Amino acid sequence: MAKYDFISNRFLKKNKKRSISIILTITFSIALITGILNYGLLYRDMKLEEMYKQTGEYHAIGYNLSSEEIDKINSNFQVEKTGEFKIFDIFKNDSTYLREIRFAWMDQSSLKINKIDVLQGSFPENWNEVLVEEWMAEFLDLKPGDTIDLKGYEKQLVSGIMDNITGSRLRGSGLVITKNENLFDSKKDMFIRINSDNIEKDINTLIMKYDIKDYSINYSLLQYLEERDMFSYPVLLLIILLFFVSTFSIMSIYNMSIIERIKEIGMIRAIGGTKKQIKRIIYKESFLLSMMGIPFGLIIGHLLPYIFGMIFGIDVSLISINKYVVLSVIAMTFLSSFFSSRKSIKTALNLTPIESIKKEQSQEKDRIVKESLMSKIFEKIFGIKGKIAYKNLKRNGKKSSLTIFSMALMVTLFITFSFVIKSMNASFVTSQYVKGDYEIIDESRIEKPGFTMEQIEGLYDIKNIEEIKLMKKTVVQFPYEELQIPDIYKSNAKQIKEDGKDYFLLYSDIYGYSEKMIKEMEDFLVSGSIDLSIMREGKYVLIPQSYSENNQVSVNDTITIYKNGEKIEFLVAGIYNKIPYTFSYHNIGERLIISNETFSDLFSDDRYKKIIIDTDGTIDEKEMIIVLSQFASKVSGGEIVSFKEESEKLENQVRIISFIGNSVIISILLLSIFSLSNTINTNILLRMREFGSMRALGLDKKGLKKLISIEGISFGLIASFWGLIFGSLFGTFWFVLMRVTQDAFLVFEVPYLYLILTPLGVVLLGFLITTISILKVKNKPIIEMIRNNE
Amino acid sequence: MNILKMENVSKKYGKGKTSLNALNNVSINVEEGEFISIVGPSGSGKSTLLNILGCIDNPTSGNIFIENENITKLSDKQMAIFRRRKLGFIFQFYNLIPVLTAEENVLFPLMLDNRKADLNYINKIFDILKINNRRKHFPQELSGGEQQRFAIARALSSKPSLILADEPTGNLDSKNSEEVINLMVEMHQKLNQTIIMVTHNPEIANIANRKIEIIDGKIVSDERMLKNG
Repeated sequence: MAKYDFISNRFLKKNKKRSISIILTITFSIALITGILNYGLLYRDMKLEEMYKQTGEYHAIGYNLSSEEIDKINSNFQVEKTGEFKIFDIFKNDSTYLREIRFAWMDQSSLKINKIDVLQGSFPENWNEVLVEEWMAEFLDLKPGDTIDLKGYEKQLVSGIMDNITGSRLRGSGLVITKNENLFDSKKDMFIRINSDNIEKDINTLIMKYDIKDYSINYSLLQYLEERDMFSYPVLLLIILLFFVSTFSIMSIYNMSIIERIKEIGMIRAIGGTKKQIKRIIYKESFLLSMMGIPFGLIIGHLLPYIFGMIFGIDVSLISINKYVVLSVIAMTFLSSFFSSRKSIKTALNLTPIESIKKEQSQEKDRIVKESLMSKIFEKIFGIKGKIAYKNLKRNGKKSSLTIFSMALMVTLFITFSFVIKSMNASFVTSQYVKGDYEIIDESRIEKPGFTMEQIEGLYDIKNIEEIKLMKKTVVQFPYEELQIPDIYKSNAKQIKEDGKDYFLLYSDIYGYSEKMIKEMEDFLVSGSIDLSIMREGKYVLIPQSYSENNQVSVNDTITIYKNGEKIEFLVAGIYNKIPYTFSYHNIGERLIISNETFSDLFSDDRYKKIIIDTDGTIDEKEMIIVLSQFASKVSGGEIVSFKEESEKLENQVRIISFIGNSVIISILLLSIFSLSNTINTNILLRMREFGSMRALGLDKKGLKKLISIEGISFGLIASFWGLIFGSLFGTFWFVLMRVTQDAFLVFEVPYLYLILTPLGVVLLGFLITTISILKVKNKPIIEMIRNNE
Repeated sequence: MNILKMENVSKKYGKGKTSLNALNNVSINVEEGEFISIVGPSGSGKSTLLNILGCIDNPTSGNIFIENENITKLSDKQMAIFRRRKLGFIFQFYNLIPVLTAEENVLFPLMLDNRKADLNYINKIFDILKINNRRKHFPQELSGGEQQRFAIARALSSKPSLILADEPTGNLDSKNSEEVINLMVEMHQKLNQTIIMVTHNPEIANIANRKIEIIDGKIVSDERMLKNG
């Protein structure tokens, strides 16, 4: 350590207030970035855990595998986890609540891979012991130690109660797990999870490699993982923005600290200090300040997710100290501190020692600020004081720009975010996928059953129901030319030859619509028309616009589909650009629409997969769900979706997002306040003599206050101007992006209230900060002001 | 006509044992059209006297009348108005406002008072001071001498009763110092302007038609000289 280094500590001690505010800025910036990173990770892990609970962690299931095949798969280097199981019997039950019991063998790895915990008792240890799902145990009043009768098997002893499996209660299908491998033939099913950066490709490769004929891929999980990656980009962008805001704040505060000491720096140089030594002193200072700010920032940043967790009832057990977060935040802080002090000291060192000593505490040469349109506008509004205030902003060049930039960034973020929140209209979003007040859906992906007309007839007798729409669905195969489909789908697609050309058959959906639903399609047609009688009687179909464009198919052209190997031809009646009624799950091919009547004729299928119900709104939600449950229970995969419930769930999510977003913005606001008050305070200090001369020339205290306030207000006005423009642009861009990339159900709404209130708030902020800063000057004797820097 | 009357003005800084009497019962009468130089060693109290006269510092005791108005009784706002209307300042470091052009600086006291400038008068000053062609420039584009000329023009712009100059040549080289002093004399003669100037330069002090010497806060000599009178 050099002997002169001690001066850094002295500087820090001498300027206690300044040192504390730098430490606070650093602490705050670190806390903010760490908090966001940690919260982002927590949210990500939490969502993933939730998803795993719903879908399991596995990427695919292979069915009917021999022990040799299982061994081979297990020995593959890419396979991370596996679990074996076999559902070998299903008993029908008379109760509408518990409609069937699935008897299965499962190893403990399968439970883990499906995130199923044993809640009471233990995993079966003996051949006649079983594990029962919680809801089923409650229904049958079973506890560990009780016995359960399963037809055709010896009495089973309940060894434990396990978590409910997603959807099993709604389907009325309970699971009972045994340890007895002798109850079924030796072939087993297998959950497979792999280690890969490209799961979809690699899992398909694996399936092909081991020639697994019967398999299913966990697309729900894969789709979620894909979307989750997209979700992490905005978080990353936010971190980068925050990093910039923090760096600007730190830079601005260092800048001020150097300006204040420019005379001292000049003196050190005059008595023989080299530029290198000065730099060393300043770098040491910034190092010490960072060292003091980092621990506090990291502690607060790690506590923030806990606080959020407690507010929103999030499982905080997932929070951990992530070494990458800690290391990257420390590195970021040192980097931004280093660059900030480097930038500040550079300009100061460009002055000769004598210039520094004589300098009226201004490190930059006074810029000439010529007349401009803006200065004229300010003069018009606020008089000569307005003109001076505006020109002073320009004169302070970089310092003003930094402050305006961080404020404008804050406004930009706030406006962008208000666009985002405003677009998230929970009711509208819900209405995009829940069409009626209630929907009864057969979510089982089996061809049949679904609901027969007899099963649902009773619905028409419920007096509060105003309208019922019925929808059918079946899976067909649709021919695609080789170039039209991604390679990944080719391996599983059946190939056919038609008119000398090769086609790949991809699974697609055909929906049967009721008359009213078909009529509604008129609003979504880009060409063609709806003639109900033709649609009802002939083989007419509505096709999506994307398919029509990619294959040059127009209205009245013929298209061909395959159902169970049989070729069916349709005439295109219309081309639609949006499909209002659909299912949450659909195949990768097209979604075609025909009338329910044509559907029945072609596929001899009278069952409805979805019932959309509109009520008069007078019935109690709970009562209605009980009534509809009875209908839903007639089908094993029957589920009820309530518009109100779904909408409330979404609204809650929007509320959480908005709370978190606003917290981030408020934090940025605090950083901006630091930065703005620094700039204004230092500007006032630097211009003390100027203010003194103005007072000597006859400017009264009120006039001086007005002059300085206008500067503060101008910061707010300019920042708002840019913030509003960029915020609105980014907000709109975000909306368009979400529409294009995610086909998101959002409604574009301009957040007028925010657009008006934000500039007002920012201008008020500028005014308040200057008002506080003025207190330093207002009562200072003129003579002291003039002599201030002599 | 008596333009300024100081009666037993004292200024004390600090309290108790450490207190310092910067001015001690000073009384001065100034007639209209006088050019007074105040001299004295460093710390003698000459700048304090000037600042008190300029209403930018308050006396501890005594009364000061400028054009029969007791300025020690004025409120802060009244003092500000008084300064902009009755007084003109010339500082050692010019103190022009950097964001305003030289001409705007000159007109600034009038703007504060919402008064229309007498452009003929202003042009006349610019002509005398030979700065007409530099009026549209910003202070940073001017030499020290030029800046001080505009500072003189600013002091004169509101046709003040009294101009107070604190070491007006303190920051200038000898050539510019001479020019600035000559211009002040010219102003004094052509416009019959009353000027009180603080200086520690004996040569410059002798250009005035009255020289007051202050030592330790007391007037030790008050000498009228005939050459400029």
